Amino acid sequence: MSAQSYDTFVLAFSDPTSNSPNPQRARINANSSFELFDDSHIRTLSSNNGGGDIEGLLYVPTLQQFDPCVNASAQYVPNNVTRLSNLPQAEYVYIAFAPWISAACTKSYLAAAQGITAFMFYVPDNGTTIPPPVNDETWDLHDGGQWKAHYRFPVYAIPGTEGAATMQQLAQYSGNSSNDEISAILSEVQFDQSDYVRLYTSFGTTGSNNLPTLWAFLLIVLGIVLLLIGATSVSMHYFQRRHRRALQRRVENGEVDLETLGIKRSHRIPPEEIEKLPTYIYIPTNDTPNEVNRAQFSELSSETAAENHTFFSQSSCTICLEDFIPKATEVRSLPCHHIYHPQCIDPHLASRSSRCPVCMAQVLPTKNEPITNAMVRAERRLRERQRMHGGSADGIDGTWWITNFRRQLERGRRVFSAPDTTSGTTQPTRSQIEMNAVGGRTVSSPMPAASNRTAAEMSGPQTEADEVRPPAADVNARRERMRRRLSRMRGPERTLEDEEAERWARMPRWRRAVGTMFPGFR
Amino acid sequence: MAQKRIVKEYSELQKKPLDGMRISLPSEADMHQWQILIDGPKGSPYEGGVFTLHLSLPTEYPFKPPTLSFKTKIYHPNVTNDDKGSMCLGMLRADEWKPSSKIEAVLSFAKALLLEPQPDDAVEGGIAREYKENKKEFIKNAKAWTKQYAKK
Repeated sequence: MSAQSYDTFVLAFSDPTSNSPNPQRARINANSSFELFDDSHIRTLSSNNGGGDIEGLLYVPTLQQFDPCVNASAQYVPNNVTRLSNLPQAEYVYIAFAPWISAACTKSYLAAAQGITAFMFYVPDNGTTIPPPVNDETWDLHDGGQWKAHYRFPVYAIPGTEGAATMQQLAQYSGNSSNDEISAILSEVQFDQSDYVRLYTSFGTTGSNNLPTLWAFLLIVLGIVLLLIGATSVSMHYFQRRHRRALQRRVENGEVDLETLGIKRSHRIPPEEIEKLPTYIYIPTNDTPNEVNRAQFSELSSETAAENHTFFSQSSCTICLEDFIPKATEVRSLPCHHIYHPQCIDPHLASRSSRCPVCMAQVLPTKNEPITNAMVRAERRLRERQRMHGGSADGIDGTWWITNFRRQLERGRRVFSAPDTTSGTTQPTRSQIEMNAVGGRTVSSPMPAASNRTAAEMSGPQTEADEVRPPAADVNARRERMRRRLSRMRGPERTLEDEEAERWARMPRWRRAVGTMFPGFR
Repeated sequence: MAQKRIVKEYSELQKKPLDGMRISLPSEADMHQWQILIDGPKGSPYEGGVFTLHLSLPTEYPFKPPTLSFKTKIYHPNVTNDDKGSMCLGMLRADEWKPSSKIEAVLSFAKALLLEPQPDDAVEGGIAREYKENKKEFIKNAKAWTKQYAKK
């Protein structure tokens, strides 16, 4: 922690090691003793230490007996200065204090300091300005700065004059009540005469207080944001799931058929499954099977044999419209009892649809393939379109604007599942189609006499404007037909499922992640 | 298969033509494009006109529906007014088409639509509204168009 300020003052306190019933401490008024506060001239040389208050009783570490620095510092450090031995050995933390005379002596002092919270140096130059910056050569201990890592306490420097004054006071307040001043102070605060009066230093550090609160605040904000995102994601998943379930139910009840709507890829039937569908020799209903034919029906189970007459009443193949030749044509029977030439129905089942072309019944039981969110959206879109289309009667009543307004509302409501705007490059966008439609409309005016609009407007009191701008519902329906027509022209039909898969494959990874997190947000 | 069925349907329609309809192939080589001349049914505002229709059979026929369009401009709620002249027929929609449906049925349906438009299933909203609200005006316009575009 770097320090912004420091405060050295006189503290009177009872000896924590004595069994005094109520330990006391009191900060002595600066008027009757000493205080040094400075919030602009302190330099942080090493900012170790994790956090918490940096403060403690001030003392000068005692150097080894034969250390040359003892002599070198003698002129700055009085003999009776406060040493560790002058301080209580329990309960209190300490801050070491020494003059920065040379690199060697500083190293000695650092080594001599034990169990301290911080070290405070001063350069004995009588300077009053802030000590030089950290990278100044003054502070070079010729070890490449390793000492900062070695001594895991913060090191500060204060101006020379302040250091000298502190040193002087440190000598003043080192003894016991035999010293008159200490005795006077103890009397003043009504402490026991055996109690201590010493210098105490407290550093005002930045960050140690502010930073944690800032972090806490940021964490709280982050937490709330994450919570909101999570809640949104969960609720979106929940609603989408409900819609999927609802659609699933309706599919199971046979209310909707996603395959014929072009939403779901109609599943084809594998050739081996087609081969399993029974084939018979065609015999019309009115032709009673004779013994020979019975032999030909060897593969027939008794159950289906009983139903012979039902399915053989069909006299021609509805695909090629050819009549079946009695006792000669081989026919394939689907579970719905419709019969076809195998060469007509097999390719259809294998490559186009799994349904009977006549009654649209599933040839194989429908597999419960999962309903996707895109299917839900597409189905709802189609349903709405149908509703709009059915509601064109409203439009004719002259209340088409209500339909239009409702549509606008609808559009607003579907923020989370807006209709797809792009459906690939091969396919014209819907707006283009609409433009084409409108364009075609304007060119070929509905008025027989007028070849263009201007003429019609000039000549006619007709309701030209009304006709050029049809009700929204009609545009909608018309657009839908245009889309259908275009999709027919496009060749083999692509289902929504295919489009969705392609769209998903085209998306960048982050977009897919967003899509997974917020289903329906497009 | 498609080819065979189309030939069969075509020859059947040639043998037993529908009343007021003449079917021909613009190109003998392409059985998938049919041209149909249809007389405006009696009692409709299209009476007296001859309308050219184009029937396009997809290669997937009969599994995919044919498309029917008016080459002659017609004032009708169920036929688009653009140069395509697409006709709105419920049975020709991809999700309603059945391979067992025949072209004969499609053409009969188209003819019935001339006799009785279906404004609730319209592609031309303006005409549909007029048909519902102001039938006189509709008949007048339809007759005028028939006279102008569908002369014999």
